[in-house]
Amino acid sequence: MSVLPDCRDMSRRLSAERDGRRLDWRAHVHLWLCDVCRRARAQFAVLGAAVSRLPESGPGLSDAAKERLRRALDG
Amino acid sequence: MAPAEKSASDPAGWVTAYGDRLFRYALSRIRDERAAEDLVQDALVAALGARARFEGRSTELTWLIGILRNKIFEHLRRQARESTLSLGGDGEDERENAWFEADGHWRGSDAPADWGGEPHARAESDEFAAALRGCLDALTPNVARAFVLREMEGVEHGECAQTLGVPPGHLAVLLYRARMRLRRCLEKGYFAPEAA
Repeated sequence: MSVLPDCRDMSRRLSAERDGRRLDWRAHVHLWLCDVCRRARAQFAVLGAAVSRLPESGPGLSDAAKERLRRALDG
Repeated sequence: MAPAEKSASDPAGWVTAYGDRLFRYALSRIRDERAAEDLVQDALVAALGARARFEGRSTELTWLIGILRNKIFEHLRRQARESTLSLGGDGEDERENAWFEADGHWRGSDAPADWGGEPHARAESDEFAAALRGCLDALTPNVARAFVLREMEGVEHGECAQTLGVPPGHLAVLLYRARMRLRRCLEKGYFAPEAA
């Protein structure tokens, strides 16, 4: 049995890495060997960056909702 | 840097000045328009009561977002308490198993595909944001809540687990599922050649 993680194990480790866990040397060796795992790591990073930008776009409040809010603040 | 404000402005102007930004902030985390509106209202009413304590050490918008953020956390905690926190038995494990061969290697078309030269640049577009919103909506609520707290709010892993009322190991599984499903959803719906 290989001492290196497989792609499935790597996917879990790469997710944990996003949450602050350091990769061990086996994972680094696997990343070096596996283009697809490097791609998965980059895609997790894109997701994190993109999701943090979501509030910068999208719909605003409807006029009716704004009116409700103004009334709530008045009342 | 803008000069610090000394006191909160007239609340009558808050909805016009900050309403849209507060709503987008809440909606991006809650993904339910009505609930997001209610949270903005709760935050503004709470701010009205706390106006005298605003010391102008941050901008008024930052202060209001801080209050809204607390309301969102309360909402997520409540939702997490009311939901069933199960990690298996609902086809979740089977779905994950389908992405990999028995030997742990990616199964053909489920392997992460090439997202093109500059995925970070493409990810800044409004189209990508719309696709990501759709993919977030497709996540199960527990998985979406975990991802929102961790990646959008940047809440530390232990605090995130505490807020959601799950053990840290359980949270890691939820986050893994969120990332894998979002990655796959975007790949099939946004980065696929026929979708471009």
